[in-house]
Amino acid sequence: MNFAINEKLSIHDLSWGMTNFLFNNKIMFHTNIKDETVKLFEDIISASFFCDSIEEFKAKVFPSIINVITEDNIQFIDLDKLFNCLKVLFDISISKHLIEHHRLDYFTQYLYSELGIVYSNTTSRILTKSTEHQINVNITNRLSLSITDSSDPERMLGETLRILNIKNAALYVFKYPYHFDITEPITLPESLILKLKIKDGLMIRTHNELVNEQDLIRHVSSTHNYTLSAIASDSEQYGILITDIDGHDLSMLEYITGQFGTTFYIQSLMNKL
Amino acid sequence: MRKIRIGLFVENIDSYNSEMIRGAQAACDELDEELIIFYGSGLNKKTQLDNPSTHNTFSYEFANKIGIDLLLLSTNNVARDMNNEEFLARFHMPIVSLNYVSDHVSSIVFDNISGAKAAVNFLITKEHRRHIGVIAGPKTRTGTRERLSAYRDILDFHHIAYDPSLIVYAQDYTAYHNTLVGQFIDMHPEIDALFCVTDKLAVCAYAELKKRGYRVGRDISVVGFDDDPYSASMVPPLSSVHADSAMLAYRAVIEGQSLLEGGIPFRHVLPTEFIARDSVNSASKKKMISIIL
Repeated sequence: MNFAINEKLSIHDLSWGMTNFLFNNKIMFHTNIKDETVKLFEDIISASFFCDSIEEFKAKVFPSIINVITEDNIQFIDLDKLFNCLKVLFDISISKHLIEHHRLDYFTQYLYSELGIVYSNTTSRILTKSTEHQINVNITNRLSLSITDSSDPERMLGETLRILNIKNAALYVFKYPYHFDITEPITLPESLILKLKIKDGLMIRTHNELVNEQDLIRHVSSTHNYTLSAIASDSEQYGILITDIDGHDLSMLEYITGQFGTTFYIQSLMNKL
Repeated sequence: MRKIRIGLFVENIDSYNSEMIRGAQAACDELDEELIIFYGSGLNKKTQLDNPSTHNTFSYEFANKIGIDLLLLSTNNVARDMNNEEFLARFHMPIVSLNYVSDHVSSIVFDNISGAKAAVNFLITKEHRRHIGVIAGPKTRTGTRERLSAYRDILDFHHIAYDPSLIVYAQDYTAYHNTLVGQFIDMHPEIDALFCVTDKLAVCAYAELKKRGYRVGRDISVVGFDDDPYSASMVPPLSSVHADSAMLAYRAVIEGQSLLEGGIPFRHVLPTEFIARDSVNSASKKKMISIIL
């Protein structure tokens, strides 16, 4: 980026360079994803310079987001790298007073929502059985991944669980995500943060209290049965979800935990911006 | 007073594990004990969402932390890439290993050998098949090794030469090996019967055989193993070796009570039973006769 600024590269050249970084210089067959990505970067840069109003900014940038973040494209995009590129762009734009923070908020919320919809649609295509229950799972996942108020995602995740008729549950998160590899020893923290609690179908407000590991089950009321699943994306572990789901409803856990992991992952990317 | 806590590790919610959960749940209800299911799942790669149920075993790490009194686990399935014994050694409470025999912990396993022998023997004696192909799982897995050994024993017994080229090994026991199975069928037009070491592998075989115009149960006999809940509703219904995973887990909870009182580790073998359905010729003929009569 410094090189681009010093050499006074054109917006197109800079965007092309970032796109090649994003795709490791690889050729993408049968898709316009690279061209679309170049255009997204170009639009972000030029909108930062030339758009006076928020409406103008939205009109310029949002269509490009829709073109890049699609179900077909998402499999080729390394989101970590994309967010790194965006972060650099925004940091420079803010430091040079080219863009205001609230425009960035619009941008990130819109991007988050698009990612949520795409991930949700992708998951829905994977569902092979369209039982009523699974359709409900999918609807609620769409809800959880389309969170626009990213400051309170736990409430939305709680709503998701309630809609799925989960009567008792607790969501615990780690202070920092853990990297987990089964072949390496891991030291778990002695306590986790209670982010969300559902008791007898009602959401109980939590205050980020720390719960000792031996008390994790105690926060979930159940007569007999519990499930404990990790909330993760790839090797990054964000926390655990404990529920009282009955044995024959367990199949929805696959979708819930996968989607919750994606929600936390996308959120972690958004927080970088 | 806190109830006794039974932990059960599952790596996915397929029919085998669902039945296992059902069995463990029934035993816990009977004994008024708590069942805690540790479910391992998560996205594998951030940019590839084609398999949301790819395994993530992090949840298992909590078994040592939340006061599990007795742990049940299908070691072969949940240990993934780890050595089974090393994986078992991670947990510090009494353990019942399901379908994997360990020198260090108690185990309950299926009688793979008797069930597989009955299935292959049926193909030879009742179906008069001589070119029996095998769709096997990973070579290292106990299920594959024991079921293959039973296959060889029965071929020997009937003086049929063993031909290793009639065996194909899938990477796992799931129903996602159509290409491998299809190629295998194409390479061996002489095959007149297929012994699939799991019913899920038989699902691939059905799809690929039908694609090639074979009539399962008439042109070729197919048998599976596990007798999954869907097997009797396949078209035609799949003959299979009934191995009851619900009973496996039920017995593990019940027998495991002795370990809670300091009892010595045990080894138990659960019987299996071959059930002939319409995927074998003689079963479908018998049915036709009974309909006519």
